Amino acid sequence: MYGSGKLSTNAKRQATGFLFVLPAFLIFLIFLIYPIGFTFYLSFTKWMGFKFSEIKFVGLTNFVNLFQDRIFWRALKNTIIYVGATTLFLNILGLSFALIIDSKVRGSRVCKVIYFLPVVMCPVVIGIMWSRLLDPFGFVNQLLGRVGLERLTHPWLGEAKYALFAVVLATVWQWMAYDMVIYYAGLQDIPVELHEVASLDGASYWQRLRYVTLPLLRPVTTVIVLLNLIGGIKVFDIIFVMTGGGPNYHSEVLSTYLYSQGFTYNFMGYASAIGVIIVLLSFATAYFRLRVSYEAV
Amino acid sequence: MLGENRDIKAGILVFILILYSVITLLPIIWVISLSLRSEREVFKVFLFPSSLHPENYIRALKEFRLLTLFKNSIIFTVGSVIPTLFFGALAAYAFAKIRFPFSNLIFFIILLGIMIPTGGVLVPLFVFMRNIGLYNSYPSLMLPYIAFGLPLAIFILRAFFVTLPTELIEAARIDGCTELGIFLRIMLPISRSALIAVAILVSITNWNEFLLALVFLGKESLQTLPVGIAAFCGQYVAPWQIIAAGVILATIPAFLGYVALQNQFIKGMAAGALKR
Repeated sequence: MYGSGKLSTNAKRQATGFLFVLPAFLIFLIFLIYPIGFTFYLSFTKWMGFKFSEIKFVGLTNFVNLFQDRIFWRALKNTIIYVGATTLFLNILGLSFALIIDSKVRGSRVCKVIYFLPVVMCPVVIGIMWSRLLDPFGFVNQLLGRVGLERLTHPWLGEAKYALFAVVLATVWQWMAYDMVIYYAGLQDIPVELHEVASLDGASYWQRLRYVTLPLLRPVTTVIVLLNLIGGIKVFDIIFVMTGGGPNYHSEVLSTYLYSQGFTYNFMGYASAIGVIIVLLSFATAYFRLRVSYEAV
Repeated sequence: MLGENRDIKAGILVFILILYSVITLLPIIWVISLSLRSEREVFKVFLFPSSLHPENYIRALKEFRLLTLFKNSIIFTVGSVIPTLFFGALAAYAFAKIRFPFSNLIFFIILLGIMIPTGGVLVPLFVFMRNIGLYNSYPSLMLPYIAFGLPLAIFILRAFFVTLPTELIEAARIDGCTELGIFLRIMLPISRSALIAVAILVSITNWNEFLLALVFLGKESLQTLPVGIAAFCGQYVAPWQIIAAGVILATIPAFLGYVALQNQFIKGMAAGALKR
């Protein structure tokens, strides 16, 4: 008697739990999972995006064309350079400044607040700001002219060599403090005693950094690097605003190429094939990043 | 000797801190200076214009249609953040405290959503919205924002609910409280800090979102702040001092929020990456 009564309340509770999850799960399925599936399907078709009856199955044609598309390779290469460069600089600067702020030197609290300002700004605004700063008549060239380095002035965003680098600069300027506060929080979790013991054993600051701080920060590093990588792979707004992928596709990335193929030219199948590449790149990155870190632990 | 050495080191660190403060602030200050210049001085002055022109801000307000953009961005943000919080908390609570068959599997599947890039769903979502007649409407953007916000919200809130004592829930159950009652009357009120962190994170993300807003809203009257600003600045004729004033005006709400709630902002923005 008692047992069956308990079972039924338990079953009822489980049903309630399922009902609680249901709305979120349905929204998730309809607006994320179903579209991803549809992107994979469309990547095997040719379609201008109007009537469903006009969807034509073309097999692997889109991918074959993609791999022969010079601009696609350039976009992929630029994405990888952008992701690599931003992740590298964000982590070096983020960790360095987290360590400086953690030393509690005078002014570090104020600086933490100041550095975080760009993080709350809109990337579109940052892009517009930096495209003026780096304009031929903008702040950077003005500054170079004032200190007598006129020969170093460039139309930064208009030159193939510098366009992607300029976008990396703006991105790092915006997000440095994001990495910094996460590293800083990670540093607070390291027990002070460990540093004291290491100091008593005669370890220098750099030795403590190398053998105590960095190894203990590894889980934090894993998360930040992953966030930077994933954020970089899907970058769109700042590049769209600053260079539009130019000049001559020298700062084109996968998302901007997807946008122009899909929504300027209506090549929905081709754009979906690019979408598939972006999804695969994100998941592969997450998978390898997490696997590498688990193996290291 | 040792003390002197220490002072030098501290001095170097302070110098580096100040240097990077300048790197952070100078671009912003330059844009503020730009926004106050006369048309004639835009390219001539480095930082200090000879006369100030605050009327640029009034022109920016009008030419950017900033009030419309603000209104739309507020509607889209509030309209997506509240459902994200409610359904996210509801699901997170169930994942943390009411186990049911496959709950861990469903949680794991939802977590994968954090990794999904916008580009991976853009084309089908656009087609989908147009076919059910939602293209150029408020829900066309709110629904995907909710979907993109949920995985992270559930992840953060579940981690929070797990730390709450189960005795609290047991006691309420014995008192005859329903599961929904427990969630609404006990769980939501005590998770205020976690909810605020998620609210800040999701609000900033949605407020700044660009790609979906660019594709899903063709009508000018529905444009959000980022899309409207980008469209205005994309015109070749747009005068720099007006662009600068518009950009500053658009940034003021985020800055005010940040200045008022610094620590919550920092905590909220970093919430996805931190345990606490």
